[in-house]
Amino acid sequence: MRLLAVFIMVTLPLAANAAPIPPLQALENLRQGFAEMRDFTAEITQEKQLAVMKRKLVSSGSVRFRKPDLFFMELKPPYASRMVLRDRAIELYFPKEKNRQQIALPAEEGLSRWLDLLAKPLTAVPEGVEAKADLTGETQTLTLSPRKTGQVRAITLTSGSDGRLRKLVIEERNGNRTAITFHRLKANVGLGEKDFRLE
Amino acid sequence: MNPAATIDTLTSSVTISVKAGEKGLSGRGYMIMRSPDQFRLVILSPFGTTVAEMFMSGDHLLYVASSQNLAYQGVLSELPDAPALQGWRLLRWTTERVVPEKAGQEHMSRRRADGERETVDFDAQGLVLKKRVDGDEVRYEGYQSVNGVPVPTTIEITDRIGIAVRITLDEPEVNMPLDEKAFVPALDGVTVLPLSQFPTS
Repeated sequence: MRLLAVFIMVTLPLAANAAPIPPLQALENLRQGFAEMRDFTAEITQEKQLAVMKRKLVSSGSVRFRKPDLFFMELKPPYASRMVLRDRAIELYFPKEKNRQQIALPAEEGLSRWLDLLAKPLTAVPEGVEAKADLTGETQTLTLSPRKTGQVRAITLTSGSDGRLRKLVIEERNGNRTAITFHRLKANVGLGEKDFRLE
Repeated sequence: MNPAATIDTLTSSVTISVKAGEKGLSGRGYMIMRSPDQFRLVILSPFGTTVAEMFMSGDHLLYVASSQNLAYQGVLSELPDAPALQGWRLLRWTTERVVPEKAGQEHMSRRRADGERETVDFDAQGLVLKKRVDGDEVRYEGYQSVNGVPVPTTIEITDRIGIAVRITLDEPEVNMPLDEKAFVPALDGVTVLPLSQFPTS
């Protein structure tokens, strides 16, 4: 009983500290954090929870990004894969199967289109999106929910006071949920073309 | 491991690779099966989001292209010549249980109910190594005992026109209760088209 009382005393103030903030302010904090980066590397942990399964699929790996539109992601075994995204062109490589695939994204889904939106200060929350945000200590949480029925129900971005992303959670309408946690994020490390090769 | 033990339900994360001539597709995902003929396959993107889901029940197939809010449904005989879908018409046959007629039997040939001649190779324990029907072939490798039930961790299906599907199971769970919704697709807001309209390029 005493333990329970201590637990409540410790956790109540923490819960009370989650203060709502204007979503536009949260978006702008993220944008500013991103604006200060030319490139970044990070280690990631990806946790996939399917609606019909108790066990999570957990992968780890790394990501690299270089402005204006180059992104690399590598997942380690047992689900090893490498992906390079150059604006609209996705190249995937599965080392175990030695299988390479190319996928072209529609023009409106290219990386540069999204990054262009972050090039100047935001004046409004994007149309068609419901947004809410809160701040707990130095941790900002922003949740974006598209109003239109689509695959994604909500995206939650957790970031620090520096505006750098710590966690990304994607909730799908089919009940599946993916959480990507970023560790050891290093910005402006001077990434070159060789850092974005599949093999 | 009991070679006579049967798989009633199976859930497993999977790696899938499809090869059709020069073309190849690979992906990871999750498979759920309830014997004899219910399957659900979830294909995930490298980001972990759902790319596609496939539901099979008997001869009925529903393919949900999750990122496009589109689905295609129909019976297996309407299956178009699309690499992403080939090999799946053999899934039920692939998971059919076959046991040797007598101990130590390594080879069996039999006439199936549909009239086709099937040949089956067994190992010394009576586990199926290979099945063949009219040019379609399936090979089973890497048997593991899961709750005493033998489960092949690699299944290679090669159909009569040379399309090869390789399914690798990772940490399979066998004969565990399944969620009631395991084979119920979420089609809210999804446009459902006939399977014959599935894009073939």
